[in-house]
Amino acid sequence: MRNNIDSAELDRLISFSIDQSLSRSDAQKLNSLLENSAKARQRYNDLHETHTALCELFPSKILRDSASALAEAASFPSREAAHSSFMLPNKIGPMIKWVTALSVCILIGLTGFLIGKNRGDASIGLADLTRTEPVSTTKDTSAKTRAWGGVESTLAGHAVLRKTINVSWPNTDSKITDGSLLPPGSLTFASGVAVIDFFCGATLVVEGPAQLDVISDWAVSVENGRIEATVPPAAQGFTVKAAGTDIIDLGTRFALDMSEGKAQVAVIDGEVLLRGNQFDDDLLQAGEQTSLDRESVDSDLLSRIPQLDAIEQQSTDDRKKQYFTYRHFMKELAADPRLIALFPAEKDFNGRCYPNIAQTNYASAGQLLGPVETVPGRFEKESVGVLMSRPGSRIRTKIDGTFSAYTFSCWAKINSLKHEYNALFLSDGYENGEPHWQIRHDGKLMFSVMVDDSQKLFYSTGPSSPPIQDKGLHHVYFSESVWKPSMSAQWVHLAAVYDPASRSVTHYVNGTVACREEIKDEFAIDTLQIGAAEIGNWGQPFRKTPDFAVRNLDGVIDEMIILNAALSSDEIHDIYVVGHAH
Amino acid sequence: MLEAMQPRLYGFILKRLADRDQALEVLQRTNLVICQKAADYRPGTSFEAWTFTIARFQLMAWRKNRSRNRLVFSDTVYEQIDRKSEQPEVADDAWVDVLKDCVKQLNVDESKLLEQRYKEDLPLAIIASTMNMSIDAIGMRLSRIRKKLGQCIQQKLQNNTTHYDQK
Repeated sequence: MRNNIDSAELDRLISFSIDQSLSRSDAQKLNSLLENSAKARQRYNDLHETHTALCELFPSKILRDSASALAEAASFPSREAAHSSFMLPNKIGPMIKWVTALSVCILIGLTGFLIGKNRGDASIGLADLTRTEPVSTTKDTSAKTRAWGGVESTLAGHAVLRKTINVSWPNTDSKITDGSLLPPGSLTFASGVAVIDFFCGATLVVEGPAQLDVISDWAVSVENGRIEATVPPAAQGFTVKAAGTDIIDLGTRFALDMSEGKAQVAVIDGEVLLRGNQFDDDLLQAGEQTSLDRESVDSDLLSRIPQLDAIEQQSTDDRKKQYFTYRHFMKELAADPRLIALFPAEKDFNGRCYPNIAQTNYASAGQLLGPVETVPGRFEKESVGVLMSRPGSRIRTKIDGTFSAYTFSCWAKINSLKHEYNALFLSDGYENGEPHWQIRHDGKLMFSVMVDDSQKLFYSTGPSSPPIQDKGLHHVYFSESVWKPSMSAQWVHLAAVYDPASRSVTHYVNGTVACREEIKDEFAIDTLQIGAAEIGNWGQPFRKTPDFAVRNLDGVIDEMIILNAALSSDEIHDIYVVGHAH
Repeated sequence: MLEAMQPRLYGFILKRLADRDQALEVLQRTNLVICQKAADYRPGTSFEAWTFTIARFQLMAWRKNRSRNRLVFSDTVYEQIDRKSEQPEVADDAWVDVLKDCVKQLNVDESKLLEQRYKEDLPLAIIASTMNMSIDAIGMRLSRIRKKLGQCIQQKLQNNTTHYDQK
């Protein structure tokens, strides 16, 4: 620095470069000062270093949020584990060198394993385990909050497509699954009936061909279709726009026919207000009907409007037929010698027993334990499913024998992925050859098999903590994220195929391949077993303390199939098709 | 892990761009690539160094695709700064620990300003209006605090090293 004036000016420019934006002329000045003076560059460097350290000391929300969602999508070891190479000389000591020798994948796996693996060696005290960052026990809500970014999640939508009956969509891309949120925008289908619940409380039964435009929680525009609207008191003011007229509901049921060039409205119960076009806030009372476009009124209007009760009955009949076909398929499958266990969608449970109908003798029946609830299953009233939303809920079974491959297949209706790891099927002990099948909080499917539980591996929990010894070597095969909160309340078919012969692990979602990964030599194991295990939770009956990892699936499972074989993608697709309730 | 790296990555990028908005944009791009390439990370190597390498490539791409007059630094200055920072790129944890002690030595007004600027991430304009000062004055005050903290850190680190050597 040549003089104090330059120094003050430099500080001002550096300050601007840190705290806001430099004007074009200031940018040129800063560039020039730095280019011509090593001291200026040193000062620039020093102030920025201090700024970076301050950002670390006081991490702002914008920086905290910037990576959280992405970081969950990719899986990294804990910061300390990977950072340990930085810290070795003065902070951690030689033991931690073990840590850096572990692969990222092993660490991911061990993290998952350690979460509830509390019956480990005596050298791994519970106190150590509960200190590990990813432990997902009720004590760890703060860690989870941090992992999830601490930000309330939101979804976009004004209504929910409650159900569809024989709806024909214009193309595959425009298909909307039952239970989906409807964001603002058009909804078009060629035929069939859709039932739509608006967030304000109004319900529309729409018969195709239909073309609607969802405008808000309180408004919809109808270009085409026959509609019955039911508007309870809480939704008074709900507006249907048609043929240039606002039909403002005052708490009622009314019908609208916008098919075949017609535009007429009839009030079934209560009254509606008509505004716009030839109407000037005209009231239409129960039993009255009118044309919205001055054409003559078709007196037969109401008889053609879809009636929810009749539709429900038709739907129930269809479900019965589907369930009959499904049970026939399951009965045939039960005789498949490759089966390890088959827990199909049952009409109802006899007590707290989930029958295993496989004709092989490997698996016991499932025992429903804890606060499980039986709720309508995939085929609605025709079958039941097991809701396991509360932590102690579980379906417990025991499976003997050794196997050479695995196929796991289940139907689940997930409410939320509220835990770090959410169980589908987990063996108790997770010993050699035993499987863990679960979904991570970010919607990624996980499948793993313990490869060698005699290996002594270490996991770092931080520079100031001793490394934690784990009991074994395994690898978690992740899919991409396949479940989002918008899929809540939708039935989804999930399958995982572990095939040692072809050295591959494949995840399936709704009958199609979601991800396939090679089994590398170090993780190869061909003698498989299961032992005691749970559907929808993780049993750890040998742990030495009352604490347990919370992994119950917040949702309903109504079918679990396990085979001693690697099913082909066609076979998986067949299971999906026959089990898919239309 | 990646979340904890954010301040360091941001500092790394900001130093090379000298523009807060651009730095946040490049940070996001870097985060995305880090996640996409997660499988390429080689265990046993420094995760930080790996992320900085990715950030460097993102910076190069950013500079290449931006018009010259929207960048603060010429190629020459960019390289000078980048070279200068080839040594330990970022403050390690010891540095931050020392900084904690130094922050305690600030007076109440200085601490409050730091909190508003960093913890609450308030724009300078907001801070300036609540304190009834000009933006430039707030900027200079922050600059003085950073300088003071920088000196304090150097002093303490030097003392720690001396102490260590004596043992």
